[in-house]
Amino acid sequence: MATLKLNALRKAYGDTQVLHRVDLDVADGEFLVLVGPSGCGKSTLLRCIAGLEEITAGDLHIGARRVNDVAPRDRDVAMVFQSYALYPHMTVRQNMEFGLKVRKTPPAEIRERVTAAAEMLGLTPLLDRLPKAMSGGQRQRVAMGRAIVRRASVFLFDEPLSNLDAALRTQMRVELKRLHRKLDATIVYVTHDQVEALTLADRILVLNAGVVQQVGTPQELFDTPANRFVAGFIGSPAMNFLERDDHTLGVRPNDVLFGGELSARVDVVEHLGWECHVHLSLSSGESITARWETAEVGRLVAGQELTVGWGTTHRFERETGARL
Amino acid sequence: MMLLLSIAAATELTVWHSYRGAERAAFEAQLSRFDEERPDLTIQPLAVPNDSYSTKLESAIPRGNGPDAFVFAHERVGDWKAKGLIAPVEVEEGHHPATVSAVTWEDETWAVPLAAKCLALFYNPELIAAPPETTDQLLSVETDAQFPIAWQATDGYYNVAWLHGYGGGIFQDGRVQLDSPENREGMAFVMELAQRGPQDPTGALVTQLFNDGQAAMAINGPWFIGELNVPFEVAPLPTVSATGQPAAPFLTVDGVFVSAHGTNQALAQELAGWLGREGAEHRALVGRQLVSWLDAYDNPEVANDRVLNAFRDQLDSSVPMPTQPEMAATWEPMARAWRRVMRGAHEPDTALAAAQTEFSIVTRPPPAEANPVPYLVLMGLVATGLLGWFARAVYRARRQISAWRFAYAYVAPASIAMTALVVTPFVVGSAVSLFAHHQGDFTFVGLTHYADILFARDWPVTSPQSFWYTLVVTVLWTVSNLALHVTLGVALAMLLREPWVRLRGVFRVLLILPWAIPNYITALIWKGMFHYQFGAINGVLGWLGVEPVSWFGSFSTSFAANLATNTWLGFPFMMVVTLGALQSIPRDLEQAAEVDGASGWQRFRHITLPLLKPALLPAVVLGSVWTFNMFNIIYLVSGGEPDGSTEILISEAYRWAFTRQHQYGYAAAYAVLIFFVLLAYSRFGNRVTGQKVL
Repeated sequence: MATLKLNALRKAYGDTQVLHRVDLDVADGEFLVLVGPSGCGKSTLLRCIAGLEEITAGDLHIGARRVNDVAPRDRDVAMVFQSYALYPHMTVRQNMEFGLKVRKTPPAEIRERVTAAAEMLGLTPLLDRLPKAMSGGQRQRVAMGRAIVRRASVFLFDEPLSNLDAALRTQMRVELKRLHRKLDATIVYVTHDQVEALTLADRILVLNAGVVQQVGTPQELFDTPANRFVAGFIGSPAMNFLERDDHTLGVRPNDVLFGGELSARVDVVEHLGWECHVHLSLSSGESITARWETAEVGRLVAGQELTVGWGTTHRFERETGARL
Repeated sequence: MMLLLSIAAATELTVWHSYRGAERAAFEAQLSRFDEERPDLTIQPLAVPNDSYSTKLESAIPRGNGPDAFVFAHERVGDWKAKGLIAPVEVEEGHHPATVSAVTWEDETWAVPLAAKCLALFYNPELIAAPPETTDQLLSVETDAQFPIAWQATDGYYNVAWLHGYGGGIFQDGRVQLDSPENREGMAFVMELAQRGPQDPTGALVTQLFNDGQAAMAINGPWFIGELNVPFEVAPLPTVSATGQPAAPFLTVDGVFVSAHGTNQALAQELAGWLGREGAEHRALVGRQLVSWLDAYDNPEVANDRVLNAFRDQLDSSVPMPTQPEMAATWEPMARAWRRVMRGAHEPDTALAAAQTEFSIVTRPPPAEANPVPYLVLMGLVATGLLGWFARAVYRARRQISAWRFAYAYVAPASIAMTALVVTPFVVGSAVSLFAHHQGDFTFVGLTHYADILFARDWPVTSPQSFWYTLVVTVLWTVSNLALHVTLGVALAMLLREPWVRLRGVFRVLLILPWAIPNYITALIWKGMFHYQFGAINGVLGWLGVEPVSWFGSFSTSFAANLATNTWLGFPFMMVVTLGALQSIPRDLEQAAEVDGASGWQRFRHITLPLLKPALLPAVVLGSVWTFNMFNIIYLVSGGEPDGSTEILISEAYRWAFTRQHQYGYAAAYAVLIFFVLLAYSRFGNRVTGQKVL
């Protein structure tokens, strides 16, 4: 059973606390995404799971085993690095064989697994090439291939798509989802891109400054963010926050209704084809962003006066940011 | 005006010497005195450092740049007369006969004796009441000191006195006869006496032991006086009980020579005679010299000097150092013989027989002259061919050269300098290898030297002096060194790279200590540490309960000593190269390998090492070329011991050139062969690594 259990896990470098108490249960075959801004500790958490960082306090269980003191090579995890970390002096085939060779896997089995993984990822024509003779996308697939042949319990991905261009990234996202289904593997995936998180994840863990903000399905995070940070992080464009006397009001741009009780003036209009992002100034002086279908609202111009209303709203405490 | 004219008209006499300290002060004071007494002459003294003195004289005098008169030891008389460097000199009555015979050669005198040096017996009156007068007494002296006697027992110069006492010596009937029954007896006696002294005694050790009161007696010369800080007395060497003859040390006489190429030879002669006679008392009192002018000893102050008088008595039983040219070739074989018997590896008869054989090989007549014509023709053809090829290449590329002419102009000064400084000596050296040098004459012998060396005509192949044996030792030396350097350097780099910021202090010490200290000094320190009796290494071994090792007594231990020293010197280079290369290996790779399942060793072997290869390979090639030619360590640490078996090609070449009758041609051939070996190695290395490293 390839489950993962983090229990009151903490990580500190000397006196600096980098991860404050993480509790997490990852089910067998689940695709869990760790998301958060740069420096929030998500890569550190991933490396703790891999065994490349030492856990300061708490427990980590892979399957039924407590693996805090187990070396990375014995934890039965496979990792894909942000920089792919392909062995530059080895061909694609040798890169993929390496993990099996050092574990003294019989050669016949090595060949079989490498061939299967190469086919799955479309790497068969590239097997005898060196990494420096391949494009970024190809290298990324080799990195994944190297992880796949291991048939590990848990797969760890550390921002694997961030070095690719936008088009390739979109394409690879779909392929990753397909891969997950085919392998039926437990995956822990780190990214700073919330779109990746929403599209790939079964569940998402949002981190900020080493503190877990919320764990839940993408829909849960979108519909019922646990605090102001999660609300502002998930969803693009970001949620509008309006300060009221005793709470903060949060309204997603697509929950801003065209036509209502509040008067507003158009500042800037961003046309995105079938939708537009309209930046408005309310009479109270606050600025908000609305997301409307162009067909519905027509051609808006700067300075235009109109009215808006609220659809679904969220309320947060002013000091802590917790959901009310 | 008159003064200026007179100064301008004054004849200048240049006088060279290599005195230091008190002797120099006394000598130059006498020169000034002569200068004052003779206003028509100006004396221009020049103190020359001792080590290069003879070379300077031999090169400057024939060119006319030499002195008018110079002070030197008498030993080179025959050699210099043959080279036409010196003029005969009249020596008046009144000098000690031994000193006069020292400067006599082929029935003429060639220098005015100034002073003499010989060995005598030093003793500490607080440790020994009266000095022994016979060798039997010497062998049975009782004293509280650790060693009854200390002297440089492995140096032939210090032992020959006993050989003379037994009726032997280097020459017999004008020929070199090392292997005589008298010498065997003398050698056996010295072996017995050496039991009463320290092992492997160096000059520094003898001084230290005597000053520490650990040695009751010492055999040394007048130079010893300046190093002593304990009470001492001097006595002549004891008489040999078996023969009744006194032990007679070699006598070295300092004399004033007159250059045969000088422009004022008559005046120089006058100066020489005056110095020998008038300056004697002053030199005896102030310079503490054992002057040859006998009247000086009537001076009351001189008469009261016990030390001076002890040496004066020894003068009566002394043998002037032979001046025949073959004498220079006896030192190395005799030194080797002494070391062999002191080590216990040989008995006197076999040691001396080997010495005689080695002497005859080294002094063999030069090869027959070869016909230079075929060589000149061949070289002419090759030169023409090269020039033609070069001209054609330039002609072909003329457009490109014209386009790049400024670049060529910029490069030209450096190329010319490189050609002059590298190519020219190489060509000249190779040319010298085609000649045989024998006592100043160069004879063209073609490829004879190469044939002699490669076909082992002089020494049997298995002898340590043969080229092939030395080649094998050199290759073994290079390979074992590089293996250790790389292993140690890489291991330390791997250990230090992670916490190297914290352990920066350790890193610096490891790096700087071997590198910053000049390797000459390091070699001497290590040599001292390997000393059998007083060295640190055997001290530590003893503390661990292990038997002390005679490091320079057998090939393997002597080789190991050299290896240890050179490894100490060599690993920092590999460590630094590796550390630099490690920085360029992304951390990710090793972490990926770790997660993939590789153990530390597997990560190192499959990931780190292959990625270090591009940086290590040039370092290894460079290191191996340096090690192949690492003269300093071999010469200074083991000195080739035992019996020249740890010599490498380059140190062997050195000995041919500078200690074996100046056989420059032979040594040059050696050097050219070394070049070809390394050339082949680099070509082969390129092929093996697949990279164009060199």
